[in-house]
Amino acid sequence: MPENGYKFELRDVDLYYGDFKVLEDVNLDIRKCCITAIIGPSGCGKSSALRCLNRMNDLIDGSRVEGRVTLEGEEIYGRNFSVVGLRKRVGMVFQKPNPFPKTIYDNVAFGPRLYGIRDREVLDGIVEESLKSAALFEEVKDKLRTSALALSGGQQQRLCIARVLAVQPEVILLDEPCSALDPIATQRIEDLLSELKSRYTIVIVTHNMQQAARLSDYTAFFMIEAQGDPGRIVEYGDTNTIFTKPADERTEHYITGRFG
Amino acid sequence: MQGVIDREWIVRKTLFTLAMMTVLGIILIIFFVAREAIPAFTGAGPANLFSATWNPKSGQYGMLIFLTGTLATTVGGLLLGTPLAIGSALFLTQMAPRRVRSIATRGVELLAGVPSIVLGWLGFTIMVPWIRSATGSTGTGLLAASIILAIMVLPTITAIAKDALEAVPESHKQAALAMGATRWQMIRRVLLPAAKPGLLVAVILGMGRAIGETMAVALVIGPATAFPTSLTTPTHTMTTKILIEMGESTGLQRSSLFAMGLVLLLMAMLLILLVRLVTHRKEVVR
Repeated sequence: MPENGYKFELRDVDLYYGDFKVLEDVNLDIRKCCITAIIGPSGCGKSSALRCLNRMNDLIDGSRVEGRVTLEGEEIYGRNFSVVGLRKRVGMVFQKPNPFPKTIYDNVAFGPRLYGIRDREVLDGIVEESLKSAALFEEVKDKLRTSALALSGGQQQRLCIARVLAVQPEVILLDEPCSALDPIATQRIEDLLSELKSRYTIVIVTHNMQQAARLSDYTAFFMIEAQGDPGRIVEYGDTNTIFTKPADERTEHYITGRFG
Repeated sequence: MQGVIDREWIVRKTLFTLAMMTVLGIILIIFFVAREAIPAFTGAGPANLFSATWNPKSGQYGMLIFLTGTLATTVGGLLLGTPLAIGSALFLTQMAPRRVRSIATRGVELLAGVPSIVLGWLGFTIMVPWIRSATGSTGTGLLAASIILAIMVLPTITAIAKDALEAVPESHKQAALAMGATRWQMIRRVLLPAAKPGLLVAVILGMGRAIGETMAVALVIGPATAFPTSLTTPTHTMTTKILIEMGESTGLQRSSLFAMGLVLLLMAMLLILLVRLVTHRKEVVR
């Protein structure tokens, strides 16, 4: 597979939950070291699309993917592809901050320990490095051994990002990571993501149009025609074009706030 | 309007009275057991009561043999029953397909409803002969009692452990799986630690069940008033000793049996206190 600058390539992807078709004909190329935003009204399948990329949809009974999803040219739904290996390469940050009920240190060290790193000094280094990358270290360096649940929502979300960074993934998926946060905490996460994109491929689902416009390099707009229909991509392109001169009038209506 | 208020007043007072009766009940139980046990403490003395010799004819009322029996069968029952119960709870909550889960859950509930005399009888007629032919002993004793108790604590521990595991937020499990944890790693590193207080409560309540169980144990424990020298020598627990001697005892002997009952009662209350402590700590941590 030739080097083409794409991390993920989705070709004619359909997603089913049982008999229900959630997504149809999704074609999407996700560029390396860029931020790709997925926007669209509620229930259009944006989170489901995101979860196709690390196969978290597998956890839903009766879910099925048709079409091709490749990561660096390898088909991730292929017979011999390891789901566990995939999730090590593709980290995920959830809508609601979900640190483990453990100490801050143990949260960040969770992944490295999972992969067999036991050496204290190595772990200490990874924890410090990851917390610094997540712009959290200064705030928590004196209380690494206290419960992560005592942190504020914004801090918890940055801790979740640090937890993902600790395993050095190639891709970070974020599912509306700021929807439970106040504007200041949101700002910090956005600054952080802008910094991280030089090293990671980032895909973010967001309800917040300004956030997509500010933050992302590329934007995909998802929509459903009517209740019960599958979600489809209406338009995908570089964020500037999508937000300034969208080709499809439904995109224009959505970003100007006429529905959704 | 007046009628409505009156009716509410009556309901409130009735419920209050009912609640007070429960409280009064436990107070009366403690009071009467203690009253019956007091002569043993004053007449025989604590040193005698907690000694290793039980021989009413010569005035020796030591409960150490029976205390040992109770503790040994309880620990044995829990050692066998807990892994099985927590394993079942893990299977039911994490792995079983929906249909298997509902059928198996009913099964566990039914097991809780099996009368202990039935279990004891099956143990005596089927299991004890097996142990006898396998070991060449009488077949009765700690091993047989522990196996019966393991079966009896199984539904208690499974049901409570299942609740504890189900109470762990889905988001913790998802976070672990999304990090590339295998299902087993997720269970071991996230699910079990998060559910630990609840699992502890399950084991403690199972322990309460095992300590107090009488009929089933009485049928397979021996009985014999002697310390167990192996897992398959007849012995006694406190409950089985009380059961067997209560009908034909008088005076200090009878009072000493009540003293054993009092010790059992205190142990049960201690366990409940322990549950309180564990669940309270959980609330603080969460």
